[in-house]
Amino acid sequence: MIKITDLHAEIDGKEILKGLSLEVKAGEVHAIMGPNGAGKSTLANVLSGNEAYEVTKGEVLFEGKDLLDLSVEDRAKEGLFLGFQYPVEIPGVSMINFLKIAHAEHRKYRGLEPLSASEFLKLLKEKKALVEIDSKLTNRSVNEGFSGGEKKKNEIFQMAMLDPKLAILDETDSGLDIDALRIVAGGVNKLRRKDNATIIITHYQRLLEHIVPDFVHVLADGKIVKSGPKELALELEEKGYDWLTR
Amino acid sequence: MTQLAANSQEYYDLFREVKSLIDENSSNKLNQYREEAIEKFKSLGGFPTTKVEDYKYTNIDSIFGYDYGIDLKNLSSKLPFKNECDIPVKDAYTLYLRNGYFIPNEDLTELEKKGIIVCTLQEASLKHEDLFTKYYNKKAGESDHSIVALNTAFAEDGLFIFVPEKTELDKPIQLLNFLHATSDLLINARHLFIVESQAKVQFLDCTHALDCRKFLTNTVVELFAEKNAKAEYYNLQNQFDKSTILLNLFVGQKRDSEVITTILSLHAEKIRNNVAVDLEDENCDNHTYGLYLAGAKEHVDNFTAINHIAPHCNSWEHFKGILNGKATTAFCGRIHVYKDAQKTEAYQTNNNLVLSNNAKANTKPQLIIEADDVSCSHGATVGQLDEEAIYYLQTRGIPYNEAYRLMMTAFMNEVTEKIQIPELKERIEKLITNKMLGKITYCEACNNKCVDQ
Repeated sequence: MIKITDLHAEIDGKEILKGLSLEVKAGEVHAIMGPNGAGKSTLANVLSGNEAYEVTKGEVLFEGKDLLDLSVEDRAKEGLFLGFQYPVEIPGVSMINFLKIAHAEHRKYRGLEPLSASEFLKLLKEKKALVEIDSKLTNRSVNEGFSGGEKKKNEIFQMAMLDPKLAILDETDSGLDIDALRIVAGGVNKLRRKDNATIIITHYQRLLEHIVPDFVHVLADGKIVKSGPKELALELEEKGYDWLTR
Repeated sequence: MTQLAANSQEYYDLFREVKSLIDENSSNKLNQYREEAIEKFKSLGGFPTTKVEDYKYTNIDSIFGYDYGIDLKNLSSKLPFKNECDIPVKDAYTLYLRNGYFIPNEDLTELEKKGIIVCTLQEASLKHEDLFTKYYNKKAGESDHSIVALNTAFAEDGLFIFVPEKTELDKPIQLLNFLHATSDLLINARHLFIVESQAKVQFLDCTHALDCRKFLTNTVVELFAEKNAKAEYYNLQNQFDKSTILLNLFVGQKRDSEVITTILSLHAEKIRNNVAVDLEDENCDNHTYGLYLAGAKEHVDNFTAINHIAPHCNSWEHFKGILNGKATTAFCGRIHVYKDAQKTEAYQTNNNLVLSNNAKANTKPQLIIEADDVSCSHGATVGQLDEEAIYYLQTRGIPYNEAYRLMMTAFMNEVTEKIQIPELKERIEKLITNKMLGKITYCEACNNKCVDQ
């Protein structure tokens, strides 16, 4: 699915990623954990194409294509999805309109006509149920006035609508109460298939009780310093990160 | 007042020179206002320069310094074109004007069948003398803007619309004013709209420049809403690079009336809008809205005065603008709550989105509150495009240009959503998008491509 090799990236001249390598195959869920400032969010931003970050070295192949060569929107349309740590509020742009345009762009990329209004509404209804999102929210502007939990649910809802091959969820659990966490995790689990993959970036082990990863990686100082099975998360919870970074 | 400055003196002298010609081409009634008006023009000091606080951002004196022609014998009763223009709203009663002079057409008959009086000001001053005397120049005559006095002195004719009691129109009345001349021209257009009690009407006022000439339109519109009347007035300013638009809009509201005015400034070299609203009786609602898109070296200046004279009135004022290139804009919003106007609610907002480093937005709220039991607020913002939001949209597969367009439309949404004529709303949204994408905004069917000539 995605193969990252020796990735170096910097922001404002400061190197954050210092030779990161990672491979994720279809059907897998990977968790990336690590201390603050390790480069977790940088990785998410670099992969989705945020121009504030500059890749200085390395290669990323997404389904065999050079990901770093693609625009932000084309990466999305190739099947990459970023669930934001801090979803952006966009007053005046309605959720429905936003999703309709995004969905149509994805279809256009694959040479398909947009869905008819009724087909689209049917899809919307189906996916809304999946993440238990309130209809009131989809009638509002994108993320405007949403609570922390609603914003995160909305990220998973968008993910469900766009059906990506690879979803990168950046700190999706932050700011969630236990009910919202259950719903968000439930949504991710329901979307899990043999032909897609998920990278979960998280600080805490808590989310991984709900979404069980196949692999856990520790990111520290811009590199993966340790990889292991799901039990590694428990070990990290217990011992912290110091024993790995010393 | 001492000596007038050169440009003002020139117009003062011109008036003296051509007064007999103006009188000849107008009606006695209209002529009665001229002398007082020209003296008022003089006593106000003539054309303001930027030294005058209320004109700090727009130099009217230099605008009139250009040598415009003035046509005092506009007797043509024909439209200068075959009507294939891309008119703003198709489902409307459409009235045509040429350089501010009304030219009757068949839609007029339909309106007359509904009891609405539509005629020239000259005709109104003869046939409907009572109405004319009661309303003409009642608000404009009190104005301290010298260009209004100039208009009163020079305007020979214009449009008169009277909507009688309890009359409701099924479609908007659309005014299409075509500017047509073989030389650069100053036009003093003058309109008087009266909406009688419990009547309901929408006006859409739109001016097109048909020739690649420099046009300066100095328009005065007086709109009166009587008891329990509901009136909407939309002014679409979408001309071309050499047009200068001066709009002076006066609104007078009586008890329980509701008026919505929206000025849509899309394209001209320079625009200055003076809006003055008098809430004269209790329980009036007023909505004064505007949007402006200014690119290149365009200039848009909105100067508004909402006067809460009577108690228990509400006003909402919202102007939003997007600036690009080297555009400059100004917004000055004055809310005046008179001593007796208790329980006033008055709200004002101005938001500017500045897309380029060289564009400049000025904004100035002014509240004068003499009553003690009122609720007033004002807010002004000048900001830049939220790049993070664009990035967010892009990560969902929406291309940069489309994301950009969405953001612009969203920004304008607070004003466009208040346009009560769906067809106009749709058209405005399209025009905004076109302008944002650098496309032409004027009518596509027009043979006349005046841009950048």
